[in-house]
Amino acid sequence: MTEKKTISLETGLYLLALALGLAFRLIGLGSLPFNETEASWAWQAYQVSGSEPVLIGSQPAYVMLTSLVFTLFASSEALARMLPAFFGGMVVLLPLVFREEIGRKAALVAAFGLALDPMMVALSRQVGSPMMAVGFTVLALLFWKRAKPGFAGVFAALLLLSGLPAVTLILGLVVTIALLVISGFRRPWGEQRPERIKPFLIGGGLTFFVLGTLWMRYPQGLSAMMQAIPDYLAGWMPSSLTFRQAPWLRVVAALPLYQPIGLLFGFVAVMKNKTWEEDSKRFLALFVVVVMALILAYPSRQTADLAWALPVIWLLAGIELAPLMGPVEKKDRLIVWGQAITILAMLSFWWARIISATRIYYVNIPEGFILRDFVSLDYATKDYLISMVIFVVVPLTIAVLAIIVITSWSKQLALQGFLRGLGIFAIFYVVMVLFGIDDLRRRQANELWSPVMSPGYADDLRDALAELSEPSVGNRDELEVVYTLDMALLHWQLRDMPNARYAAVITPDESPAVIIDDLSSVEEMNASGSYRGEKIALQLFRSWGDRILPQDFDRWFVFREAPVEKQWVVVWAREDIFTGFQDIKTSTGEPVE
Amino acid sequence: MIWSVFVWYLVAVGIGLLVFPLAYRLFPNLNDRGYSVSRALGLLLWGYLFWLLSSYGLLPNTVGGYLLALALLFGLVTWALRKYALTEIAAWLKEKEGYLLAVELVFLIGYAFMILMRGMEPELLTTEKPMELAFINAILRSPSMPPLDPWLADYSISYYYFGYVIVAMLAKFTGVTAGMAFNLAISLVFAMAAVGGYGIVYNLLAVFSKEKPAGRAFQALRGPVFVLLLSNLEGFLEYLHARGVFWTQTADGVWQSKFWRWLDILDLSSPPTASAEGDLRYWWWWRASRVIHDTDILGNHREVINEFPFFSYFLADLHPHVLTMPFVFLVLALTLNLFLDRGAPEHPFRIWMPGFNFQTGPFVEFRSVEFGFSFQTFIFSSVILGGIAFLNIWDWPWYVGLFAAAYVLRQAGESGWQWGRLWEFLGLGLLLGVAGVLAYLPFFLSFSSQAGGFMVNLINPTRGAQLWVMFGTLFLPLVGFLLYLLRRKGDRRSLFGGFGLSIGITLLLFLVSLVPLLAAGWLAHSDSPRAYLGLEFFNQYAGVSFQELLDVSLARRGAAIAGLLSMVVLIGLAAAALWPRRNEETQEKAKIPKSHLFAGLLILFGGALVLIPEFVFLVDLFSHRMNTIFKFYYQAWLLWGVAAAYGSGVLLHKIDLKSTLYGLVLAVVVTMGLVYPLMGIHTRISSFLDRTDRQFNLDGTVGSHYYFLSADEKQAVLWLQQAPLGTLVEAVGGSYSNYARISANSGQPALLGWPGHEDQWRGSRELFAARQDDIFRLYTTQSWVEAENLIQKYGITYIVVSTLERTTYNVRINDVQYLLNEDKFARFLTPVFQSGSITIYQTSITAP
Repeated sequence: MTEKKTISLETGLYLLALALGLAFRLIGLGSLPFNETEASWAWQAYQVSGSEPVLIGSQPAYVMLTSLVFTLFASSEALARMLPAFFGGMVVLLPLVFREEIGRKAALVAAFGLALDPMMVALSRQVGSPMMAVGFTVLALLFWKRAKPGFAGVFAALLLLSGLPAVTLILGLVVTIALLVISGFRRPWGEQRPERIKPFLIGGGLTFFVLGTLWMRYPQGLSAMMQAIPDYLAGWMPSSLTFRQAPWLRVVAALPLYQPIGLLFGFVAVMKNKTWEEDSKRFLALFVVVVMALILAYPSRQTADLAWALPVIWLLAGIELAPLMGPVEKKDRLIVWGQAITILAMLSFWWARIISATRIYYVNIPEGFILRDFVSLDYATKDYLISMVIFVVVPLTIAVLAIIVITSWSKQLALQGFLRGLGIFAIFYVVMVLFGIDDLRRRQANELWSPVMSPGYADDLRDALAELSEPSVGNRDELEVVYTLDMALLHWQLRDMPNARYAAVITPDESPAVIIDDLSSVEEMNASGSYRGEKIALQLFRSWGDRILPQDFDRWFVFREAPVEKQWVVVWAREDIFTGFQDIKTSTGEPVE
Repeated sequence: MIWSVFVWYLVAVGIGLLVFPLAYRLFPNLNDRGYSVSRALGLLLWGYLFWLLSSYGLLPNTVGGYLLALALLFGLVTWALRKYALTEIAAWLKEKEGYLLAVELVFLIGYAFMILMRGMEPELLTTEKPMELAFINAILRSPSMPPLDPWLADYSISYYYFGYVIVAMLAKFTGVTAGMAFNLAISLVFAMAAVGGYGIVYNLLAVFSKEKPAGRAFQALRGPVFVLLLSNLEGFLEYLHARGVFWTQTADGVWQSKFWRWLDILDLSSPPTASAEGDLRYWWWWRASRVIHDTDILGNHREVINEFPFFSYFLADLHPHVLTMPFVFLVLALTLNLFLDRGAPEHPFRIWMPGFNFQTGPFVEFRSVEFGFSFQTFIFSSVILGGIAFLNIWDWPWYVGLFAAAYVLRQAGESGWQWGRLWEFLGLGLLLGVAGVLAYLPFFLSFSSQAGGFMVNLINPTRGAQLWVMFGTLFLPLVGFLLYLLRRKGDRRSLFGGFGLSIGITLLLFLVSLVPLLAAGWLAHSDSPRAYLGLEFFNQYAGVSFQELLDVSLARRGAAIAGLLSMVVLIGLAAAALWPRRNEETQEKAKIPKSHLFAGLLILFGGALVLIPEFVFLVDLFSHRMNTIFKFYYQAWLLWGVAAAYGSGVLLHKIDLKSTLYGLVLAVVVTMGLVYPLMGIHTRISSFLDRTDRQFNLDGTVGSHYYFLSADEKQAVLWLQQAPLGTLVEAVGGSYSNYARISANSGQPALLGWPGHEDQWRGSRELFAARQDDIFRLYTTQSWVEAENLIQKYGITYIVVSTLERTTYNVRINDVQYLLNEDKFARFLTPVFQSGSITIYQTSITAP
């Protein structure tokens, strides 16, 4: 008699969370071109796949693994982002590691939270973000927990090979454990299992050898891993080249703006005494505090560093959210759901008014304005003022509603209704943000997690060159192109053009068919009269400088609209290659004046 | 700046602590378990692991590469800890905390002293400092090992450059500039040498003396004093000379002095020109490194270098002989550890070696030979001794020989002397040599030496007076110690044996030195087709005849016999001290501490180092014994310095009349030897106070005093340091000057730097014979086509045009006026940097 294997509801839900998480992370990965940071990692992987000499940066795990992907398939933006997205999706499994400690229901809630967390999804879709390292950490822990130390060793080694991102984790763990030991917590690392050490070390050692050196083809992968230490330390020196800090308040602001639910409930968990009384929860809570402190204290902090705090915040949030997910007693349903639906409706109305207000471009409130003058105002100003009133009144009404429920029934019911209403609204909000992050909205650079430079229209550059090449040399990629900017993004974009080459300078006696240069040469090239140029925005960057949030916060909040600047390059085409075909134009290109 | 000073200190202390468990395992027979040399051990092994793996393409020259090498070193330390529990080491450290504190104090004081000395005059201007700076910068810029030659693009450095690898590694690791790393490195080397000298004397005293550790720790301070501070007597003589002592003025105003003329040391033979206050000449301190006065057969002056440690540090000569110093003490510690070992390792080192079989045949057969030390000792010894080759190849054979001799002496002491010991000595030396070559194979494969074999020294014996000026401060404690030792030994046969050996070897060397003369004389007068060889030999001596040369040779040897006799006596006494005793009763009656024997061995080896250049020298580009004296005397000073420090400690450990008298005489001699450093420090402080800015600084390439680069050129160098690597062309000229300044400071490899030095490093001009002329043509030609061909031929990326280029290539040759033609560069190349008078043109060639 064969045993019938069934999937439990819990397993099914985990699989669903994983599927959702992976789907959001993997969908449309190639829709955006790279920015310079992403391109630099992908370009290294591409060079390794072609066995070219290359100085590998401090994230060898990405470079080595992606080079294998390039070798097996081909090189593309989507494939370059595939592994970070895939391993980033593994963060959904983190709650499985702590299932016993935080409770099964809490773990499931956390799994869904992690699957749909907008910032974690966004970071997973980005080359060079810490999400791969986070994924390796989760897998290492999971395999260790499941008594598979060999595989745990493999992923622990991959975590170390992730280089720079792993430093924050290691420091966070060291400080957390040290604090726990100081506070009298004797064995913060849990039960020792000496029999697992050997297979763990073998797995790790083999990974170091095989992937860290790519079968000794690139032995410097191991030193690239160690390079993470000076790179991290350099981040503490304001004068260092790697210094690209995000204001610490922006990092803090990103939490409520991208994961209000996780933050709210995670914060509640951290503030509760009960959390600090249980060993494992104390560890998690302390780890979050330590990692947040490390991130905020680090001068070269990036919003992306939150990737180490968010998963644990979600675990803690799950603990608080789980009790609220239980069924409400029949007699209380009307009160709880009535309050929840009212809150949801009011918040929806509130949101709609915000959208409406963001569309008002001109407001004229006269000096010495009093309420009596309201009728004499123009329509737009009236509308704006009404929105502002609603903006304040709606939260007050929700608060009053909660007070009524508390005084008439109970605090518990009021909280359940409030959290359900807020939770459903937050889910809608998160999904909206999520879609924006997946570039289903538009190409822009104003997300808080975005690096300094965001993807621009580098893909248009390739199209423009192909269009120049075809009529000139008969195919789309054999045109002679010389570019004077030593940018990984250009190396990457032009990698399939055999006659494209980088030259630091172009001497006056050279005249390649196409020259790609920055704006500094415009005057000189125009003066030469033998080239015609077209501007292409290679990358975008926020132009709100060190501000925490853009000045026009409401527009940004709803549509992510804020001032953006562009990094231009000019594609100079020699006059004679235009013979016999029409002027080219691309959607983003601008003629050079 | 203070941060950098502190970080280097921390790194040195940190690496020492990291590898101490390894030292603890490697040096079980030393009282300090190698603590005093652990910094040197750490830096050597760290540098070695990085360099080796990088040379085989396994590590890039990045901080990540250094860290990975450090991680591997940590692995080695973990291995060492398998034998000893950390708690045992911790207990040992606790027990020795007084001594450890003393070591740390010596290190800190040494480091601070040199930091102060360099901070007052940090500029890297004179002598070969630009070359040393160029090496450091080139290594910093090299993507991997072997490093790029800064002054011969497309080639790697052909020099014993390990010290510079370590310095550059520390510079990049701590993020300091090469100019600052230079001064921090010389300070660090001084401090490490100070603790090395301190530790070795302490360990020797610990074998001999039963006194309390605190007293021993105090006595051991003689180590750094005798090795590093004590100087030759030239400083004392300089003081007397400046005050006109021994000078008299004749009626017609002419100054005369029999003493100074007899002494025949350049500058001191001339009357003092200073004021009545005894002001010293500018750079008076330089002369102390040139007290040995050689002349060619016609009586013309020949430069001979006789540096000693304090001079080197005062000059800040970051040359291999100085960089090696801390590692020499590491080798001495290794050798002493072996010598003190009881020779019964758990797993002795066994190897199949060829041996002679005179009785049964076959004549040569392979036998399994067992050594009285473990395989791990052999491996570490090979790496450490091989490191000496890579640091300063001149010293390598000597320290391999010393190690092997110490082993043989130990074996002889335990199981008696037999002639087979000689085979043991040769066999072990050979094994260590082969293992050293294998351990540092990438270096040996890329090193082309200027050495061209040995040459006999016929006409330049060292005069006794000059030898005593050079080593007088050490001779007294050495001779006193040897006499004490022989008296204690009480074996007259040893005296005969020792002196017999000393005289015999001296005679043998003398006869050997005559062989080429006799052969050349015979050849020159023969009908042999090789008669020209004989004539060539005499041509080196201005074409004099056989008889004339023989006469001059013998006459000069006769006149300088005091020098030779001094050496014969010293070597004879040392050999007698080590001479094996057959009378077991005598052995039992006066058991000689092993530390005494070790000190005797050091004296013997030092003696050999001084004796050998009396008869033979290593042929180099200079074709006389300048470098042989330099390198040999330097090591003799180190060995004798240690022996003198220990010997004086032995003689002064008791308070009696003899010791008191000896102490008084010693105090006088030591005071005379300390005149030089005291006057040197005074001079340094005075010149600092005379500076207009009085700015304390450690970066030797910044500030207005660094006149090798103009302000604009400094900006250009900064630009080049950030620019991609590429072959650079700048004006080519003489050594010891500001030629090749841009490449030396930027690390961009020059097409050609100092040609004379390239010649020395490579032993020939073959590789770059055409480059100097081509650079001349590149700058002066009117034809762009010709210039472009040269650019393509050499793959030139950057062309520097500045004041030095304009003056160098504005020259009249054979009635033709040449002028630097910059127009062609301006028309056809891109000026990528321009500031004031300097322009850097970049070609379209990028380095691969």
